[in-house]
Amino acid sequence: MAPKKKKNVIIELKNVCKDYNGKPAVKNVSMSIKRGEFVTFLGPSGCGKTTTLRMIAGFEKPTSGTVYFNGEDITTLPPHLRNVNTVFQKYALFPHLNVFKNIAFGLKLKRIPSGETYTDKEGNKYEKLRKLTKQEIADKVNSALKLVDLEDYGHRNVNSLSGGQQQRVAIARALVNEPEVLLLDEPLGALDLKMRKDMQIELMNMHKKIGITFIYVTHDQEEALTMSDTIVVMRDGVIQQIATPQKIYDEPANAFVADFIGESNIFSGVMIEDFKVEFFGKTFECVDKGFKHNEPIDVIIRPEDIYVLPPDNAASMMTGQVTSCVFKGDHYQILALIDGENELLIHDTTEVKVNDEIGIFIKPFDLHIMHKARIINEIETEMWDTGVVEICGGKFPCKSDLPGGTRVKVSIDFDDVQVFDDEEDGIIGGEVVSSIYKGSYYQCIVRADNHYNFFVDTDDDWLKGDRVGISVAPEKLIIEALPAEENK
Amino acid sequence: MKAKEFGKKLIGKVRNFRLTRSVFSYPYILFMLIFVVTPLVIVLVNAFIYDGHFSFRNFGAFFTDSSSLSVLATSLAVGVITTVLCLVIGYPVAYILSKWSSGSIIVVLIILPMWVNFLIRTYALQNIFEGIGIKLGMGTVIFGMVYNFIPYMIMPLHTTITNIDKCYAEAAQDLGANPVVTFLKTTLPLSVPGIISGITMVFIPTISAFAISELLSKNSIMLFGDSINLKFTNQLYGVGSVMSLLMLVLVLISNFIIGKINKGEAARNLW
Repeated sequence: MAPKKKKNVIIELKNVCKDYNGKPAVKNVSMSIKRGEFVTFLGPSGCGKTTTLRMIAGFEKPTSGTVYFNGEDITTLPPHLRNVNTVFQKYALFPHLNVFKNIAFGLKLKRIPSGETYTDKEGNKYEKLRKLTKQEIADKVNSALKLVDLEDYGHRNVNSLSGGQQQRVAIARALVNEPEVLLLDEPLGALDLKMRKDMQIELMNMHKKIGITFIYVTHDQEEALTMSDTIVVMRDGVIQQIATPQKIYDEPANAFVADFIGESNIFSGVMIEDFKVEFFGKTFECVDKGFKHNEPIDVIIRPEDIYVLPPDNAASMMTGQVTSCVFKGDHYQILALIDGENELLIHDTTEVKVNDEIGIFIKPFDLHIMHKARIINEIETEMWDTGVVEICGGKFPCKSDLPGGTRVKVSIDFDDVQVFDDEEDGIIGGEVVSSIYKGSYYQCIVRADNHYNFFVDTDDDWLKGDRVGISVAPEKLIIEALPAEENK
Repeated sequence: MKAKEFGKKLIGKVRNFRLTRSVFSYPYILFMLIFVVTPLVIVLVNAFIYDGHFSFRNFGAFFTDSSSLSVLATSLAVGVITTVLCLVIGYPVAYILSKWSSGSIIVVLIILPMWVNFLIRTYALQNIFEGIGIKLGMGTVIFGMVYNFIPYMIMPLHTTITNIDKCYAEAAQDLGANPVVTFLKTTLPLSVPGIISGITMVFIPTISAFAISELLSKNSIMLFGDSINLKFTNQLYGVGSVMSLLMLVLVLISNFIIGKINKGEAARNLW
């Protein structure tokens, strides 16, 4: 059953999933998009943002779930019947048509009410439809060309245009059909930086002027923050956060969002009690509550929220040693080492000298506390043999003397997982899917071939997308037999 | 003395011989000289020699012989019909195969018979027709032509259609085109280079085809290639050479026209 028609909601996704050959690309995505909004799907490549867009356009059918447009279920409606138009990543301008004919393509197919009506045998009244006249098409195309500043380019061959001009033609071709929603799939990805900045502003102006809904897909966080009313941050096919740019920046929902949007310091800490957090071995006041006592958490601090003070200032909460100070135009980027082990990234307007002692102050409000996604790797599996446990298809030697075939739960601490450059050196192989700097170490996620994600704390920054080997020392595998009723 | 000097020079040349890249082309150039250029020159010379003298009488003999001209007309007609049939049958096949992931394998299966000599295939066809009692005639000749040349149509079409970026079809659908319009307005125009390569690959060999019509019509239908063959077996080298030249001109003209339409795009395709 369709949900109640909400007046200002134009597109709604409900529990939408999409699998490719059994591999999930989009997992249970639900959201609603308001009329006239500029929404951006933001995430690293392969996060499912383009797939979600293509399901709205109709090029992909969801494996499960429903897509509503103006309250109507359009999940299985083919793309040519949807009142949305797309600006494609590589523009997809028809090479055999000139600029004018490219833009006129949609108009020539359009049928509009002619004003006359006719009545069929059963007495139903229908309005007759007619094609647009040549003059109407020419007028619309010319005004679309004017909108994108390409008035004299109608006769040009699309291949003779520059990237930026092709981009404008692609936008004109979509907008000329007066869609209710304009979908833009990384439209500025192929342009150089200056052109991209100009087009961002032009797109925002167009959005204001036309007033229709824009859904924009990008992996560029700055682009998303600049242009959007609402940002949907996605990762691995799952929505991480839906909020305004300000909120996404100031109150990221988790360490991933914080790391992906802008620069940030992310540290592991412990929530001692409400309003009290411990990290760097010190206790700080904060404004968060509702965590369990002594719950391990992530603390996120934006570099511009850290104040540099003289080391003997009474307000200074801790001192650090400056390891680098780089001028960045409107601020200095300072790296300071706290207690000789934790690195803090600071943006400040005053210059400091390398090796100087500085005092540091952070407002309690600027300490963002987040639940940890996971505190230990836990895998349910079974013993291969006495002293050997099977994990993700690999045979790991261990210290357990349980017999083969016993169902067990294996726990591995983040820093006990060893990662090797060469896949052959590990017991199993995997792909690095993320790497987040946490002040003194990197927290990586390595995805084994059966899709289990290993959280790993390492001293090295592993390159995203690299194939690596994983192994664990036998004494570090904590193995517990699962209760007997679960053993067959 | 002179011989000695020459000998020295020769030895010097041999000593200075270097294996440069152009050296590898020598065998090919030699082959071309002997088997392509020389025969062409012989044909050209023969066409203008009558009774041991330079003359245009061979041309006169051909262009005033109505039976020869009608053979030429029949050949062109058979060429056009075969090409059209190959296109009409081959395009849907190439289109459907380009949508299948296993399409390329099936294309290989389509090409497989090409490795069997066309004479053997044509003899087999003749026996089949006779065996099931179909009268040999124009129909069987055209069937044989299509059967022999259709792989040459499917191959370039399949290559072109597979390489069309599917974003164009998506863009057309996005702009409101239903599947039929999408095909007519994007896939079809974008596959024109493949259509033209296919036509080139079928039409030109068909008009010069030889033996197929002879075998599949029991000599009742004679095409241009067979006619040239007949002239040479009857030792009418002059007229035979004129007809060969005419053939060559026809091939060059069709190539030129096709090249004009295509603006050199077919060159980028497989063939």
